[in-house]
Amino acid sequence: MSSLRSRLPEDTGYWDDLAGRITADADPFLQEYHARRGVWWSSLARQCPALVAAALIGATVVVLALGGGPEPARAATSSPVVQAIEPEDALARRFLTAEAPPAVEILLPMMTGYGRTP
Amino acid sequence: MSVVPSPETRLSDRALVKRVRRGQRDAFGALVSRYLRPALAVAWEFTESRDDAEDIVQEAFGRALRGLEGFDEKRPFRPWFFTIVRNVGRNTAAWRSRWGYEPLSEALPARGGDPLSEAERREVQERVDAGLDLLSPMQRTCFRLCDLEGFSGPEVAEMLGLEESTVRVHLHRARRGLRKALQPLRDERGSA
Repeated sequence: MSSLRSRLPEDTGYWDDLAGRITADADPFLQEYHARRGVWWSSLARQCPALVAAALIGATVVVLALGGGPEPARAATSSPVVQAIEPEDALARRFLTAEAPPAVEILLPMMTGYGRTP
Repeated sequence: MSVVPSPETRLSDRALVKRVRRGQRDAFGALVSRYLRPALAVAWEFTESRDDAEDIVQEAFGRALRGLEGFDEKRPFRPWFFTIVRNVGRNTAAWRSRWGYEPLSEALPARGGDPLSEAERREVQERVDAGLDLLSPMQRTCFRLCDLEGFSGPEVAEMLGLEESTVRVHLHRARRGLRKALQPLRDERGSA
């Protein structure tokens, strides 16, 4: 106890020095924080690994559902077997290669010659 | 406390904490500047030596920085930080008393002038010191932080982790006790 006066220094230089010392002392930790910045998910993974695992599984499922699966129609038409048996006539080709069934109006004109003679 | 204010000084504690967690040195510097003075005032309540108080503050800032990783950003920084300062202060005080460590007493600044006024000044100071010693530690702390260091009641409440009303009560009792202790001195002066 010294007197009824403030003990805190008024000198700005004193506070600057002290602040500088404290900040310099903190540098290794600040660098560590900075280094971890790029891998934000690593701390998340450390804290709740189950959540991260579920998110990864979910992302995989979404990717497979959106574009990973084969397209049956195209795969069938481009396979060598189908190409080998692909008939010469336009009507059969239409059935084999189209993604959707051809409309009747398109098919009717092509059917000349297919009809059975009574 | 830097003379040239950086842009960080205008940021809220929460924004600064976010930046510190990203490793920004300037943000940490701004937090240090903001809380250095009150932190030293609190730390000094646990020790008689300024060097020890500085060590307490430095350790408290270090602990706060390390603790920021798990700190909930929604919580206010200020009370959390002052809790750390007080904990470090208490630990330091306990360590000092356990090991019988006696800090070098800080000599009063020598003042020029005639020997009579110097003796008079010493006598007044002894009476003041005796008056302060009669107060409870918390009364003394509240009195010193409010009346001598100039912190407001709400600020001191946050620094000490007390209710504002509690600080007011301690302050009132401290002032009354000190007035009572110094009354004989005032009477002597009045009659002289």
